[in-house]
Amino acid sequence: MTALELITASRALLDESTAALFSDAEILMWINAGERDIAYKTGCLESISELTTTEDVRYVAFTGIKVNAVELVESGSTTVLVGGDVNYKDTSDNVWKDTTDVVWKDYERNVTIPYAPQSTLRITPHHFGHIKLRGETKPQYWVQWGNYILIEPIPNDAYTLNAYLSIYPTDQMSDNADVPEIPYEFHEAIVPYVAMMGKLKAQLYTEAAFKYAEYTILLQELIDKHIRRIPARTLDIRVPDEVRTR
Amino acid sequence: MSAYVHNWTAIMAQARALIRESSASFWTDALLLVYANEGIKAIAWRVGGYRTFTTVTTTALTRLVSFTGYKCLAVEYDEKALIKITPLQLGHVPLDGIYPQYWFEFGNYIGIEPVPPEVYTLTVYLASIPTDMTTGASVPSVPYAFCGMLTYYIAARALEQDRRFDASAQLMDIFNNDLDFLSMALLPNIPNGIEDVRFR
Repeated sequence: MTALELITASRALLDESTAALFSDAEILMWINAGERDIAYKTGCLESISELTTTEDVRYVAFTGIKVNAVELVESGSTTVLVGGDVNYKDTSDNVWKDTTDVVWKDYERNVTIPYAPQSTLRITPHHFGHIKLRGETKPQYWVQWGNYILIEPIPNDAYTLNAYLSIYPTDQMSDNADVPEIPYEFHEAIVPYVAMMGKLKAQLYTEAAFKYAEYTILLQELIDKHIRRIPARTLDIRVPDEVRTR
Repeated sequence: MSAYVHNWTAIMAQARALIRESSASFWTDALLLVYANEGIKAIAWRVGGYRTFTTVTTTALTRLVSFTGYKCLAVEYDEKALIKITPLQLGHVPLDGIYPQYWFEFGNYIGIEPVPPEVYTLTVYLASIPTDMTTGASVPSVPYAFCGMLTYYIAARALEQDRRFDASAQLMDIFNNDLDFLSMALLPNIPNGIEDVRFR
């Protein structure tokens, strides 16, 4: 939706088709505030940021609202699986877990594979030093603290991390043709937000409370549908009984 | 498009729109700034919205170490988190060496168990006290995510001053709901469990 479409939709809810109590500039201010509010509450504006740890420093700064996941990337590090050999997952570099599964047995080609990037796990500051690391010195765990990611164990080198972040919009709309930065499916939530702000200004407090409730319920629904990530289960991908072939 | 501004001038414009006084008359800018700083502190002390970490040092043979902040949430020594206890447990917890192993918060102090025999440097993770905004260009210390709700707080306090108590209460309700919503979304530190990473 463009800024103009949002203004028109908001004016319809406020029952004021041309500017009287509410100026267009004021409505645009609320539209921009609504966009930010939605980004903050839902974390819908997602971005992956490459960060680098500092040797012997636990924290890494990031810019955004929330850290959703942190992945350790071992850039430039590869291992070669040789064609003609049977390669098992327990190669000498210990990248692959100890298992007898064959991962590569092409008889002609070699393949160069990256060290598997690995997601680290979220903990709390109370866990520092209390998790068995089994000699592992690379980042294994993280916790968000303000605008920092704290790493466990304290990095012994500069490591590259991919931080999966929820960020805030950087630019606000100023022209009619401008479009919010938040994903399209979240645009509709801006309208009840603007309506709530308008009702507050109009001193219609009961109606404002009604719109606020509508707005927060809508946000919760959007979070459930678009933000909350649930991995597929075996149950979700198995072939249903009625189409299973004999 | 233009860059978003999170400063006091932008926040005040939104608050003034809600109280229908676009420039200072009944409510001066200075007064609204007082309400804004009060709101920022409310966010910080009620949900620990402003989090920092810093180092403090122990004094030899002294249990207590002072800190500045609303609440100490965790303490770390030598890359290891100390375990939180209460003063009632002093002398009753198993010790492994002379180094700091347990902590408790009491007033503006952190108590260490065992009593440190020498000077140690501790990292403390705090819910901190935000610094006040002073000028139009000032930006709230709390994360940007909490800045939007300041508008409701300022307007609620302004209307209360004008003895419009019902209106004030409605706005304060919205502020409280927003604070709950955002603090639940942004602040909990819940460790990942097996259910987050395994394939089921």
